[in-house]
Amino acid sequence: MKRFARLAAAALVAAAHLAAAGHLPAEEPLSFDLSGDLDAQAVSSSANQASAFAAVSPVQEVTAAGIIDGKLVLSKQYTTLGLFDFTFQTANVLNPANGAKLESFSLTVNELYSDVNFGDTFFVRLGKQRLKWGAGYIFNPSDPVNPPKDPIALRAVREGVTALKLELIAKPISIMSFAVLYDALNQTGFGTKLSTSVIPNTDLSVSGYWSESESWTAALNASVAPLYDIPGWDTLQLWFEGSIYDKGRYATPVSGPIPGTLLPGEAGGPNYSLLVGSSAQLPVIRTVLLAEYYHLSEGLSASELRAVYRALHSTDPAVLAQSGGWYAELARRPARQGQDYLFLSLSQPTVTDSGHPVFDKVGFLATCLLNLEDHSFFSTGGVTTSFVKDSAINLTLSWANGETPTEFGNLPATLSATLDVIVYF
Amino acid sequence: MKSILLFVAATALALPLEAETFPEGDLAAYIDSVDAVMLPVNCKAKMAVLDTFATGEDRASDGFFIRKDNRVVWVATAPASQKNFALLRDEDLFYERLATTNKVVKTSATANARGGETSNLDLTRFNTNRDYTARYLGNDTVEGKECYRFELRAKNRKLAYSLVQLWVDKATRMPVKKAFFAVSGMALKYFTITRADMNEGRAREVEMRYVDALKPENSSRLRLYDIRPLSRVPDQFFTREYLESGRLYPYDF
Repeated sequence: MKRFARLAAAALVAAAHLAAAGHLPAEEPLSFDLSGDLDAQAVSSSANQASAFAAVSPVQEVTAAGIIDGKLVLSKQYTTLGLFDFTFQTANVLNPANGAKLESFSLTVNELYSDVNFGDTFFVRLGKQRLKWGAGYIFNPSDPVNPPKDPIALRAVREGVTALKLELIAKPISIMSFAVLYDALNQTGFGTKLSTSVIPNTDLSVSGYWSESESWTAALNASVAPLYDIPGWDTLQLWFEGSIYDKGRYATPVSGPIPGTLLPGEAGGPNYSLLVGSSAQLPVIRTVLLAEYYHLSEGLSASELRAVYRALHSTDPAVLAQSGGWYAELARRPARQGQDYLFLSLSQPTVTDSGHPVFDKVGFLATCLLNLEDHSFFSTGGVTTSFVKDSAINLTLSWANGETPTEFGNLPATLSATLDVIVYF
Repeated sequence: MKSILLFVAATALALPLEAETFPEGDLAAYIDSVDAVMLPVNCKAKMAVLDTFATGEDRASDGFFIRKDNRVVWVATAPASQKNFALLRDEDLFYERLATTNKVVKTSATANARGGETSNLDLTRFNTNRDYTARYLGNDTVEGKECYRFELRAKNRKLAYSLVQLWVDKATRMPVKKAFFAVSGMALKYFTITRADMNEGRAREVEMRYVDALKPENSSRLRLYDIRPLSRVPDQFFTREYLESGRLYPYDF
């Protein structure tokens, strides 16, 4: 069924593209554009021996990878567009004990779609695509569709979903409607988003989504630049993203038959999640500050999270066996295990912008993601250098800290150092 | 009689000095025609920029823009790390699309999206009468060319430089020099047209040099080429939704 759905989607994409190309005069030029980056990466990690995941998902101390993120665009005039966004990765795991090497390859199709517009206002896009959603930087609570962002991963999630999107772009309101295809027919979802900028300095959208398997979701997004008209303060931006949904998305702890056992149970509804954020760029020095707070009503409280991790740390094999379903549940919700989080980011694109031979080519980034209930945190600090044209060398250090029964205290690696050598094309 | 003569003389002296009458008639229409000589109201053009610094470092970037009157989208094509970066001006709102993530954020007119001496204002605002009140100051000679000299005062200081002085070649109606000043009257920067290829009364290729008035050794050379008037420009190019969709802006259309 899965294979059939993918083949059907690919056939529809190809048919749509042929139909769209056919309605244009044959003499219109077809253009191709390939862009992206090639990243040679080395990662060294210090395993967290106290992690509940140490036994089931041991950390490889040294890994190396070659990653190509590419985007191939085919376009005819501006009315027809085909896009293929992919990530090719070859990963090597090095065993320091015996020098053995494991190599793996993967090709991820992030997006593959055909896009046609009729006139200046109506657009149709069919294929695998990442549907644009809210303004949240680290998390999008209003997004029920796309593969979720991973706040503790250094690389952004680019993968989309197979969908048919119809979009009407007009002033004062734009409308986007879509149908999303999943593996099973009863998972097919339908959604609509209305967006407007009619309120000065504000971008507003409301959306709704429904599928038989996920039930309904209603969401609101708002972005405001409250001081846009005041020079020096015009980079200050505030945003809000919130959703209410009927069916729970995450498991809740349910006591098992054996004392100390916790089973992942289904959450009832309705639930809600929200995010508020703010960013600003300091004039002259160009430092960008960003802060986001988000809340998940169905996240685990500090005591529940402690209980889950204690069950996973249990020395009783029976308790561990009964509670083992939590491994997968916790792994699929990084930085969404608890209820309240705070994310802080400070970035300096380059130290100076004055022609200095060194500081014009060095930038910094520091982030911290804090679970406000169990007080564990995950932080990163990085340096970016670009001394050679169209290339960059980045060094990023990450540190996870927290007591044993806490979220970030159970990340598989305590410390990691990642070196990326990137060439852009 | 003497008292009447004294009164008339005093009144005449008390009258504010009037601006010189512009010899070519309607000043606003003339300013519009100067704008149109360099860039038609609906047009596209390619752009190459080279920033040079006192340290001897330089930085190059390429791009193009598409203009539909008061709406402009500027798209970077080089360096590769900035490919797909776009700066959108929709009337008085500015957005930028980040190159790697396609994320769209609101930005301001005075920010320097691409760095160097060229601000977002310099890249996207081409309607002088919309942003400034013009006053004719007389004649001047710049770079050996007979010029009209104008003073431009900003109507909205958020969207324009407070004060600008403009020299226009009488023969071709091309700007020869433009100097930008802060509210305090301090000179900020200026540009001079170093080369202009004309075709039927319009610029086909223009080179200009922006210089930081406070650090004259810092400058940006901007070359506009392949300037083409357009009979039709799609409205969709100038919407935030188009920017967010990740669609590329094609140059050939």
